[in-house]
Amino acid sequence: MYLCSALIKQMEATQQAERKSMNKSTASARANHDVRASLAGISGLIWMCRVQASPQSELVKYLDHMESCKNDLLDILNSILDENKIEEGKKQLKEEEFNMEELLEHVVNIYYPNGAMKNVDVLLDPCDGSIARFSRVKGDRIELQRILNNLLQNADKFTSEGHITLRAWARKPGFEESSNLAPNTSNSSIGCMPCLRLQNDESSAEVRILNRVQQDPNCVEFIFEVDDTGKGIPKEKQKSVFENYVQVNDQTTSVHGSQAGTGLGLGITQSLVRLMGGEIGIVDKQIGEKGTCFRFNIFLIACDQPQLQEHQATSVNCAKEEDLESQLEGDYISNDSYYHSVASDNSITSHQKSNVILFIKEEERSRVLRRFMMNVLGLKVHVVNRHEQFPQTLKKVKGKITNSSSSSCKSKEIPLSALDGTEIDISSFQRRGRGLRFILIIIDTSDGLTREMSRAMAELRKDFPKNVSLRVVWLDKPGVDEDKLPSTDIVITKPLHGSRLFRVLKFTQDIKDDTTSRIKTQQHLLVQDVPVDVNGRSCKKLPLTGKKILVVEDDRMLLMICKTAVSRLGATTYTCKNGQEALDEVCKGLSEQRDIGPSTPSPPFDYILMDCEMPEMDGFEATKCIRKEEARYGIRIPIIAFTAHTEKEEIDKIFQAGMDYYLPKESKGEEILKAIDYIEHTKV
Amino acid sequence: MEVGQLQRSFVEYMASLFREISAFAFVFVVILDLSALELMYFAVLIQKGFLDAQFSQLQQLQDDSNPDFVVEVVSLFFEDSERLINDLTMALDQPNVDFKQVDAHVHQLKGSSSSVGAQRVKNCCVPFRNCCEEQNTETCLRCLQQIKQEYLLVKNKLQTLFELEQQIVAAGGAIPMVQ
Repeated sequence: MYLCSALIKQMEATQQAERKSMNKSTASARANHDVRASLAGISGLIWMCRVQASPQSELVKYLDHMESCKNDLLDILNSILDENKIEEGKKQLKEEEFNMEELLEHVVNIYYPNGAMKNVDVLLDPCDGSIARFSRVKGDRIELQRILNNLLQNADKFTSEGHITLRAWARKPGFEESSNLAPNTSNSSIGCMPCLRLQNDESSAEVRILNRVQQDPNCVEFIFEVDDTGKGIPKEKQKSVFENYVQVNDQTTSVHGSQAGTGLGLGITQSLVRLMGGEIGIVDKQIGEKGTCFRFNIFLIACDQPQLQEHQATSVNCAKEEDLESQLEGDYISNDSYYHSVASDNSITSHQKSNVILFIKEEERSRVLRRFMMNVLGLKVHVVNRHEQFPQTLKKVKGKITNSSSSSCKSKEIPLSALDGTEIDISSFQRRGRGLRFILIIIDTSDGLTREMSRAMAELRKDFPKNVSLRVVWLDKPGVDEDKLPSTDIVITKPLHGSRLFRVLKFTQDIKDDTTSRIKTQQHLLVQDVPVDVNGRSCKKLPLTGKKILVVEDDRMLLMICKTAVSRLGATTYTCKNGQEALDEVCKGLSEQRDIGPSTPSPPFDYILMDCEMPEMDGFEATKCIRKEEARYGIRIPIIAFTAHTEKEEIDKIFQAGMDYYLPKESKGEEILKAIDYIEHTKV
Repeated sequence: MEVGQLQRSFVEYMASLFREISAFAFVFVVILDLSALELMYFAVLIQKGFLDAQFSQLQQLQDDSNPDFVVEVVSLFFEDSERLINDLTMALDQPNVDFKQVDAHVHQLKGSSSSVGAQRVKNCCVPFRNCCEEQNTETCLRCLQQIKQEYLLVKNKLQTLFELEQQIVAAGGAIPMVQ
């Protein structure tokens, strides 16, 4: 009796457990579906916001970020389904081309705002710059991102002060990698850190994968480290961290109320890393250093050709490779490492090193940047740690270069073809024998700019030696009104790493010789591509900016249309209602010029758009008179006729009167531009 | 119905559909949108020949620094056209019609309707000028009648278009730009 009831109870319990299990899977399938629906809703709402946002605003950047976060959520959702697959050994790695630099920056930037909120700096350490060399790779981007996400997320959860650093470097696999293939190697070391112990328990499947990727001649090993200054993991718990579902610290009382780490991710992470041919482990830190450092390596195939990445979520604008001037943040241009060109640049001019003054609030970032610039790029770096040191450092550096430049007379600035970033005319460099020197000042103004600092900056700019170029990079906000900044300054938002750092460093090579760029804009006067000024903001240099145009038209409506069309193109527009008024304006303008007294009088207008049929004095009459008047000053203003007739007699009349071109009356922006372009070309 | 409300309820509806069907068609949001109505109306006007590409070019000249440009230009067009039509009526009412004068007026009307993109009005002007050359008062009067009709039509259409835009702006939406 007793046994019977016990048995029945047991059966019931088993049945209930089975039902629970089935319900769990249905529930998770349901949840999966519901989450997807909400994500779809979010996607749609982002789309609608985009429709209403103005194209160049910050809002669009935020929307893009939201979009990529939503995509990440979707990926996480998919990964939950993938979990089981991995554990069962059924996971397949995808192979697609992607950009490693972009991926790293994207991942770090996800955690940057979160970290910034609690004063934890999240930075990307370029190490020896090797990633730039192998930035295009083939592999499973999503899984790699998942690995990095997981590690950074854990770091973020457990760090409440200090910094989180993602380091990455790459190298061609050497002979020491063969030790990975051998099972049970207890002490195989990756890199030069001997204290890393690995546990290799390869299954035959993993050995096979290793062989395949590693046998490819283009195989490159990537090593990553996620280093934080958080709670740390006690030695005894370090092994078990990689077992699924183990929470490291049950009594975590995190500052922002987020739950303790679920520990779930590291198990998956380990499996994925192994699937990619590598290993993951915890690196021992120096005594006294707090926090955790995870290190792992994977093997990927490097690609050589630079192809445009279209499916990167963070790519805001896939710029053409030549179109450097309109490059927006987040783009990497060519496959050629910038770092290489700068390094080689500086090796030529090593005896006169360029100076960088670094004033960055975050300590670790400052250290990382300094080390990178000094060791990898060969620049001389002065770090300013406190406000008070800033003016002194500026004075010191200025003193140094003033002294050295006064002793070297006649060194002309060499205008490098800055628009083709990687093209450096090394031979002309050597010919001139003079190095290209610059002072780059990076100022973090998030805490505001003290008066002493502003004064020191002004001092520095005064009497700055001509043969050295000064570049100032303002982090976050410019110290003064942005309009008052010289055009050689740029303002970059934090964080300063990845593509933004790239831009700053490239900035140092940009010697935009004013005259050469002016000539260029004149030649490409009517190119529709919008050149962007040094700040990277599209300052919409309109084709007719700076031109003075006189529109002569009696019909109010047509006058209004033409005036708006011309102003839209950037010109300063003047209007007249008939030929007589136009003649008066021109005469007045010409005589004013003469009174001022330049040796070669410049015309009062750059172009005149003249209607042919007007009361009082028509276009032909007016043109003839204007030409007569002009002759006295040796000037000829191009006159474009607006006509409603296109018969031959009319055309002849137009040219006989002295006009240079004609347009139908309804012409708006484009046609006017074409006419002006035509005139320019026939002039030149 | 307020634009935002429309959009929101539509999104919810689509999301609920998705839960059931796992299909996704967000494109349809546009059609329920008030600004899409305006787009459609505008497309109809173009298709029926009331407006042509010149009107689109005018729209392109409008921007935030010049938000009422199109309305202003079109108002000028209305004023000028009505004045010209009056002048034409008077000129053709004379015992001795001055066809040169009539022709000049028609020429002007042709110019302004062309600039604003009022295609059908512009098209009426060409035969009108032929009639002037032939110095035929009757046919001229018939042309004038036609011009009056077309003008009133296009005026009505344009006014409807502007009203739609006003409603959109009042509801907080953005006026879609036609490229």
